[in-house]
Amino acid sequence: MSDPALAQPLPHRQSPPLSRRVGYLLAALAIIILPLIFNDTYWRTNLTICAINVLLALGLDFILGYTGQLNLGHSAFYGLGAYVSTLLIVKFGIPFWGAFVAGVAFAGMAGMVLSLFAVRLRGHYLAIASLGFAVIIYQILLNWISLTQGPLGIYGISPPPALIIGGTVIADFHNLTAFFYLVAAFTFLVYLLLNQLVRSPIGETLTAIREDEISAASLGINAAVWKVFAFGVGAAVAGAAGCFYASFVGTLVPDAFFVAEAFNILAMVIVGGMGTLIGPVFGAILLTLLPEMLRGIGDLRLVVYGAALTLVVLFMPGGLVQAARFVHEKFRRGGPQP
Amino acid sequence: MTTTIVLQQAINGIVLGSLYVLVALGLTLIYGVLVQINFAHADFVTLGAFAAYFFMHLIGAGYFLSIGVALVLGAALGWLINASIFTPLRRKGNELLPLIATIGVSVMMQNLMLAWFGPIPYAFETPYSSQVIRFAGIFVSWQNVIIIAVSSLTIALLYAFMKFTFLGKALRAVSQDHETAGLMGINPNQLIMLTFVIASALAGMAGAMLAPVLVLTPFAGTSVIVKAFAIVIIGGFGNVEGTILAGLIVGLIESYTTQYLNPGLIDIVVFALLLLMLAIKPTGLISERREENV
Amino acid sequence: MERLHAQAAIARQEALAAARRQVVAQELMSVWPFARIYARSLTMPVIEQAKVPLLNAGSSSIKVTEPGNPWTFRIMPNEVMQGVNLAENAYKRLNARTAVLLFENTNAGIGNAQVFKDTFTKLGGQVLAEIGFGRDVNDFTAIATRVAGLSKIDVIPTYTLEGQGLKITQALAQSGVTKGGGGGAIQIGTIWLPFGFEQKAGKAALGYIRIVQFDPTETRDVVIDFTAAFKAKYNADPTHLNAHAYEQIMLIADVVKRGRKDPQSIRDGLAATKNYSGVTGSVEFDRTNQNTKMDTVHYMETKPDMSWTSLKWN
Repeated sequence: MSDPALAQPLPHRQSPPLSRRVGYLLAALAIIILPLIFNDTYWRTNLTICAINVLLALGLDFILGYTGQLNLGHSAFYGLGAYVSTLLIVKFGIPFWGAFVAGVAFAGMAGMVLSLFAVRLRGHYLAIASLGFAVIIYQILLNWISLTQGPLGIYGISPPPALIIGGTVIADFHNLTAFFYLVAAFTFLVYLLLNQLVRSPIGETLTAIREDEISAASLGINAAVWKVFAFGVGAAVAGAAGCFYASFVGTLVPDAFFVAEAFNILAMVIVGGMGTLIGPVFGAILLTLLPEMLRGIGDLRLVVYGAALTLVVLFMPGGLVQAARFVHEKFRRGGPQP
Repeated sequence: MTTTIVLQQAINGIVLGSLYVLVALGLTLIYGVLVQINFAHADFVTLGAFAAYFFMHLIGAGYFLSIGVALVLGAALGWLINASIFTPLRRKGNELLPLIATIGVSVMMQNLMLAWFGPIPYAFETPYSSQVIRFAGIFVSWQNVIIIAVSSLTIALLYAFMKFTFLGKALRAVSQDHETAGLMGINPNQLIMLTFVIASALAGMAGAMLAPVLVLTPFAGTSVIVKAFAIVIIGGFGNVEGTILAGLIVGLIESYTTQYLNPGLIDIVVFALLLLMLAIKPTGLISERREENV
Repeated sequence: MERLHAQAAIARQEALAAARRQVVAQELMSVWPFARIYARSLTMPVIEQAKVPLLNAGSSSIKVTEPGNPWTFRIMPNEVMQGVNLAENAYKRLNARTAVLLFENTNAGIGNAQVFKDTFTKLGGQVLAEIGFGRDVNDFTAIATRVAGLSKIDVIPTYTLEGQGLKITQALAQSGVTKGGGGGAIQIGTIWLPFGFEQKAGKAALGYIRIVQFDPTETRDVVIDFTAAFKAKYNADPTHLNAHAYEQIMLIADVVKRGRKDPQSIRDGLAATKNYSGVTGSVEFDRTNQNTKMDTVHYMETKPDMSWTSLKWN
C-alpha cells in the first residue's frame, strides 16, 4: 500500500519540448530584465532573496515532492552551507569558490546522514526526526560559540570576488544586479539539472519509491540508496543557497536558520505545487514577495501569510500549479461547447 | 548539600515534566485516533494561558476558575480545528496536508496573539506562585504543588476513562484499528471529534497552569511544542503511559542538564535522545500499537 | 520651536523610513529587541550608503559604534561603559568578591556578561559560575537551584529581557539566595528592567541594584519638566524608552537650532555636540560617535516598599 503520506501529489506532466524551450527562454529573459526594471536597492534585494528561496524550495521539493520523504528540517542544510563556507573563508582564508564547494559538499553529506533515518523511518516519524535534526543543528550553531560565534555573529562577509577576464572587470559582485544575475543563473542551472534528473529513469525510480516503496523493491529498486541520493542532492542545493545567503547579507547569525525557516520553505513548496519543478519556483517567489507587499498592514501581515497557507492547503492542495492547470482546462473546454 | 541539590532538581524536573505531559498527552491522543499531528496544539496552550490571565486579572475571578475557562476554550478550539481542517482533509487521504494546514493555523494564531497582546511578556501571578514550602533544605512553591496535583489527577482520570469506560475503550479500539472499530458499530468520526476536544481541553488547561511558570508571550507555545513532539515519539506515538514516562524523563533531563552542564544545552540533549530512540527503537519506550511498517 | 520640532521629526522620520525600506527582510521568530540588534547591524552599511544619520538608543552592543561608522551615533552608554562601571562599583562600593553571571545566549547578553567578568576578575574578584540560557527556557527554578548550591555569593549580575528577568528574580528569592528571599546575594544588572518591574516581581526584587538610563527622581529642571509634562499628558510615569525617544528628538532639534538643515550638516552638528544636558544625562560624542558622559549611567536600588532609591554613584 502506498505511503498515505503523499497519496496525491500532482502528476508530473511532460510539456512538449517546444513550449518547454520557449519557457526557458522567457525565464532567462525575465531574469535579465527584472533587475533593470526594478532598479532600486529594495526590490533588487528582494529579487535576490527570491532566487535564494527558489533554490531552497527546489531542493526540498526534490526530497519531498519527488521522492516522497517527509523532511521538515531543511533549514539545517541551509545553515550548514552558510556556516561552513563562511567559516572557511573568514577563519582559514580559503577563496570564495573553494569554500562554496566545501559548503555545498558538507550540506550534501549532512543530508545523507539524515537520510539514514529516512531509510528506516517513514511518514510522521521521519518528519519529527528531521525536525529534531534541524533543532540540534541550530542549537550547535548557536551554542558552539568558539567555532561559530553563535549569537555574537560573524560580520563583514564579502561577496564573491569580482569576475575578471583579461584584466577587465566583467562583474563586481558588490553590485546588487551582478549578484542577482549570479544567483539567478545558478538557480536556473540547478533547475535545468533537476529537470534532467526528473525526466530521466532516475526520476521514475524516485517516483516509484514515493508511490509504493514495497512494490518498488519488488522491481529491484534499492530504495535506501536512492533516498540517500535524493537527500544528498536536495541538501546540497540548500547548502548552495546558504553560501549565497551569507555572502549576500554580509552578516551571519544562527537565528536565520531557526526551525521556523524550514516551515517557510515547506510552505513555498506546497503553495507552489509539490511534485512539480515549476511549482516551487513560483511558490518561493510568491511567498517571498507577499510578506513584503503586505508590509503596509504591519502586524497582521504574518496572519495573512498563515491564513493563505491554510486556505491553499484546504482548497487547492496542488498549489499554484493546480490552479494554473484548472484555469488552463477551463480555457480549453471553454471554447465552442454546447 | 549535594543530596539536597539532587533532590531539589528532581522535584523541579517532575514539576516541569508534569506540564510537558499535559501538553504531550493531547498530541498523543490525537495521533492515536487520527494518525495526525496538530501543529497548532502549542498555540492552544498559549491561548489557554492568555485566557486564564485575562479572566483572572480583568474579571478578578479565582485561579481555579480561570483554569476551567482555559479548559473550555481549549475544547472549543479543538472542536473548531477538527471540524474545519481535519475532517474535510481526511477524505483526501493525504497525511501531509493537514500537518501543513495546522502549521498555517499556528502561524496565524501566534501573530494574531502578537497583534492583540503585544510582545511584552505578561506577569501572570497567582496567589500561589510566591508562597513557598520549605522542608529539609528544599523549596517548592505552592504553584508547583498545584501543578503536580492537578496533572496527576487529570492523568489518573484520563487513564481511568481510557481503561474502564465504554467511550474510553472505544477510543483505544479506534486508535488500534480504524476499520475494525467501524465494523463494531463505533462511529469513528464522533470519537475523533471527542478525542480532539479532550486533547485540546488538556492543552488549554496546561496553558493556564504553565502561565505562572513560563514567560507569557504569544510565542510561549513554540518553546514547548517541539519538545512535546520529542516526548510523544520517545514515549511512543499514541501511547499514554509512554508519554507520561517520557514527559517526566524530559523534565528531569532539563533540570539535571541545567545543574550539571548548561541550560543552553537542554535542547541538544533532549533531541539527541530523540534521534537515538528513533535509531534504536522508533516505536518508543512502550509501544502498544501494532508494529506498523515504521 | 514647534517648527524646529517638526523639522527634526521629519528628518528623523525620513531617516527611519529610509532604513526601514532598505533593511533586508528576515522574519526572525524572536522578541523584538533582539531583532533590533540584528536589524541594526544590517542597517548600518545601508545607512552609510544612504548618508543619513542614525541615532541609536536601543542597543548597548559595542558593535554599533565600534566600527566607527560616521553616520551612526549612540546616546546611551554602551555595554563596555556599563559593564566596567558596574563591576567597579560592585567591587568597591558593595565589597563584592564573588559573583555568579546569569545571561541569555544572545549577542547582548553574552557581551555584557563578558565585560563584567573581565573587569571583576581583574580587580581581584572571583566568578563562581557563568550560566547562559536560551530565550525559550521554561523554568528558572532549576537555574536558581544551581545558583543556591554554590558557596557564598555576593552579587549576581543578570543580563536578560524583562520577562525572563522577572522569573529569575522570583526564582532566586524562592531559593533563598537573594535579599528578597532572605539570603545575602544582591542582584545587579543593566537596562532591561524598566520602572514597574518591582510591581510585578513583588518583594523578590528587594535590594536589586541596577543601572537605568533614566532617573525620574532627578532634581534637574529638564527632568522635572519632562516627567511632569509626560504624566500630565499620558497619566503614567515615563520609562527609559520614552525618555530616550524624547532625548533623540530634542537632540536633533538642538542640532537644527544650531543652524544645520540637511543630513550631512546634521551629522556634523551631532558630532560636534558639547555640554548638552538632556533628560537621560549629558551628551558628548567621542570619535566613534559614542556618548561618553558617565552621568547617563544611573544606579537604582529597590527598597522594601518597592520604590526606587537613586544611589548617586555617578
